[in-house]
Amino acid sequence: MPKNHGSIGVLALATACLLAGAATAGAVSVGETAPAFTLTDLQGEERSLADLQGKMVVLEWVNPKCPFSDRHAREKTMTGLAAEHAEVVWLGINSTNPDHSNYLEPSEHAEWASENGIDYAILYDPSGEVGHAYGARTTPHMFVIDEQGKVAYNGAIDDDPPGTEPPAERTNYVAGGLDDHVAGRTVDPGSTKPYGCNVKY
Amino acid sequence: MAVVWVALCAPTGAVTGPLVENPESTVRLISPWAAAPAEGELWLGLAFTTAPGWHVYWKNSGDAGYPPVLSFEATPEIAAAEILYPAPERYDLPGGLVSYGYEGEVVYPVRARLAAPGRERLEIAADLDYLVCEVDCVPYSARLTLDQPLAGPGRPAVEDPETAPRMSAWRDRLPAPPEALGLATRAVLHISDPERPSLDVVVEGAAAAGAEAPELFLETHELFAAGDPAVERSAGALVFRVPLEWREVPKELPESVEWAWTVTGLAGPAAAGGGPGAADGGRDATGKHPEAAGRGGGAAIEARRTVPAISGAPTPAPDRRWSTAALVPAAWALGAVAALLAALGCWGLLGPRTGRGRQPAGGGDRRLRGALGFAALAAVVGQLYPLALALPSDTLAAVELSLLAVALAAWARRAARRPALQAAMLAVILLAAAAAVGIAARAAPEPAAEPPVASSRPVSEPGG
Repeated sequence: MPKNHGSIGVLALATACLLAGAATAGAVSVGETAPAFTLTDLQGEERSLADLQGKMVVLEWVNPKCPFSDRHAREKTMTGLAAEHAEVVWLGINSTNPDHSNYLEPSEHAEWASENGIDYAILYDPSGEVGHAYGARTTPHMFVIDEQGKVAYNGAIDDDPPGTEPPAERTNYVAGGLDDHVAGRTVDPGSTKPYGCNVKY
Repeated sequence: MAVVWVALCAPTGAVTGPLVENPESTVRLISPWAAAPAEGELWLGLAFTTAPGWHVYWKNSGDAGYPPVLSFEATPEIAAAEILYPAPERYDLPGGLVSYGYEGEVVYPVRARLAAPGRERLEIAADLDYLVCEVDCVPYSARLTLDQPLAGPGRPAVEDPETAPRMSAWRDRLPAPPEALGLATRAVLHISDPERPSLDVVVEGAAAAGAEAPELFLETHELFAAGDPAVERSAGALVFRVPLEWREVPKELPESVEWAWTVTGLAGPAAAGGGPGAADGGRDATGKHPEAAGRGGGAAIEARRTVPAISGAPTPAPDRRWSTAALVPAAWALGAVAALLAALGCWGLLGPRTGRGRQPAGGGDRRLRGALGFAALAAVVGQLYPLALALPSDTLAAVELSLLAVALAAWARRAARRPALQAAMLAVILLAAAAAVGIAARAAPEPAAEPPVASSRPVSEPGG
């Protein structure tokens, strides 16, 4: 077959362009529909956001090897809030790249969750696809999804990145957002800059 | 005698606080004063040294981390303390994330007000929280102290010969007002497509024209998350184009926003430091202290502006080379390429054939066809760049898919043995090329003669 350098060149260039475009990370704004996903939890069961239609959902990007995730686990920040709001479905999502030193096997993550009294589902996103779809940047990075499937809050768990303030003196944005929503108010603030370790894509 | 008395009475040794150490970093307070004025403005330095590969953060830490938090609450004589930030560096993280900060040695200048009249010395205590990161991050808290001798009646203020030049060097790395470098800077917020806002930051002046590796660092904004800036040069100006994302879907579009930014890597002299150590300290010929020279490259400016929002067509770049006006000729050029490919295809069908009936005979024909094919490829490659700047990413992806279809069909046509299949692939080539041209042309916005300024108007609610 005669070579056709022009066709091969165009094909290679177009493929490279497509791949470059695919690498662009997205993000979801408050008010937009939360991206759908189906991920596997630590017990190997599949969980879909679509199955939670009609419920409030909190997504927490987590990495047990991140000191921020670990601190909030020890301080019961997330578990306490999840217990206060039993009507809310709380999901942890771990988007750590399996090749990264922070990666934990699901069994190891389950052990850490058990030690810290975390009884809500932790989902694994090793490809980072869901993390990129939401624009998750840090651990923790919080998203509150309302009953209509719209993002109601995107940002930090609270206003104290160093964690030096007593928990009672911190402004917990997720707690405030849930209270706003229950009271029929617009979640305010709807977004804040998340803090923590970068998600280990 | 007065000189001898001063020399005998002046404190000796660098005025630095005890070093706080951990495996990833060290930190201490430093003072440029061997004997500081007891009242008025006080400069201190928050001096870090990080282990190789570890960094601390700029005021906008980027996608992760947080800048140092320093409190002088334990020292009531010090008020209004403010950390200032030298020109930062950028750290690209996996997954398309980015951080801004400093690696190695950095001194954050701290400006404060001191009120300790009649005192001979002050025990300064400050509480610091900071984050140091490499692959992992480690948060630290520390109590920093500094024993600061004070000037007074009969005790003149004296600079510390060791720390004053060091402080001055790091104050020189503070971004200067644009006017100090003979520059002007402004920005425009484009919200003609409310779902794809963008920001153009322009820096004009000789120092911009001579910039070798300019970089833009935006401060955090409550309305927008910023993507990676792309820089263009035109007519002596730098234009940084920044894709934005709304943090929240807006109910009304703003008429303007307040925003601050820093631009580094500019040409021109270092900003005047002023204060302790400004007039001496072993500066080199450029006026910079050796400690500050060679770090980050070039001068830096910082500006805060009221940025108007434009809801019409995006304002073209100053020389209009890569403006949306280029979309129409780009679309025509793609159309010309499509016609060229069609001509090649027809030549393949109708031109002289070998004994197998598929290829034209003769090396000259092959060379000419190869040259035409290369010209077609170059035309396509050349047009993708202005399209990538002007088109939304999903539209550009559709154009690229169409071009991929052209290439696949061309390859399949070459491999096909049956004339009917060859004709079918030729049809695919023509359709895909037409699709690429049509998508690009339809996505091109009509250029406005005078871009209107946005007025507050309701934004339609996003679809379900």
